[in-house]
Amino acid sequence: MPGTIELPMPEVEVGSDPKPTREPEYVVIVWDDPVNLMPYVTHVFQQVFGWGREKAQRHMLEVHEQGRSVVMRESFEQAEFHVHELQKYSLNATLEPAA
Amino acid sequence: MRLLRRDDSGASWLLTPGERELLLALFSRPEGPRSSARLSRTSEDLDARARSELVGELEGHRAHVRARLEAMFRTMHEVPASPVAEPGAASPGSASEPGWILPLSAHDRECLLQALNERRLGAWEALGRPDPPEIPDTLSPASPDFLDWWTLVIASRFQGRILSGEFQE
Repeated sequence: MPGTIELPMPEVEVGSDPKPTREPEYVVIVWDDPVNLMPYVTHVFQQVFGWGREKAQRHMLEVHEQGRSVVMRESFEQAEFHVHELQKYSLNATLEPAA
Repeated sequence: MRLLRRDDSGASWLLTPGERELLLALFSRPEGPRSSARLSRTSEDLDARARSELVGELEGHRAHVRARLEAMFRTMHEVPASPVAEPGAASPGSASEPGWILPLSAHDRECLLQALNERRLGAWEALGRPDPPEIPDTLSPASPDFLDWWTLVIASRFQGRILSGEFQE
């Protein structure tokens, strides 16, 4: 066909993925319970995450009022580390695959 | 329990002889039951894979906390009543009454808070997880639950005192 240029087809390796792979993300969730004291939970958030008092209290209240708070979104290794640290303080914390 | 001194290296607390007895009695009680640790609620696979590591780490940590507690209680020392302020003592007060001084580094403070919370949770588990955890009006000293309620209340008071003394003044 006049006026058209046939472009060479690029060779694509089967199974290759040109997109950079992203490490799956996880969320760390702290769940409500009737026994841990509110000032204690605030203190734990400050110690484990290095948060200021205001942010720690906001998440503590979220746990108390909504039953849970997502406190971190991070790689599996980091999330696992934070769950271990929170459970050393006996907080009810788990990690879940991020939606 | 009264905060005597606080600086970057830690704090010193003054306990009355009665408070010291309570603290030692609290930790001389057997540890209560513990709910099993879980890493994930929604992923059984994830939970099964990583739970044993979590359980192992928590057990190791509890052993470390127990060792720190023993060391803390060994360093507690008696002070006689004195009308003179302790040199270098800062607000809110100095040791002017007889009692026991409990020095707490920041790390030991965290260990003590964790140990107190373990006691609280153990007692709460032993009581059947009451919600809310409030002492029943009908509780008598002869009740089999009495010591667990005692543990819950006393551990909460020490925990609250440390938190309010060091962080909210």
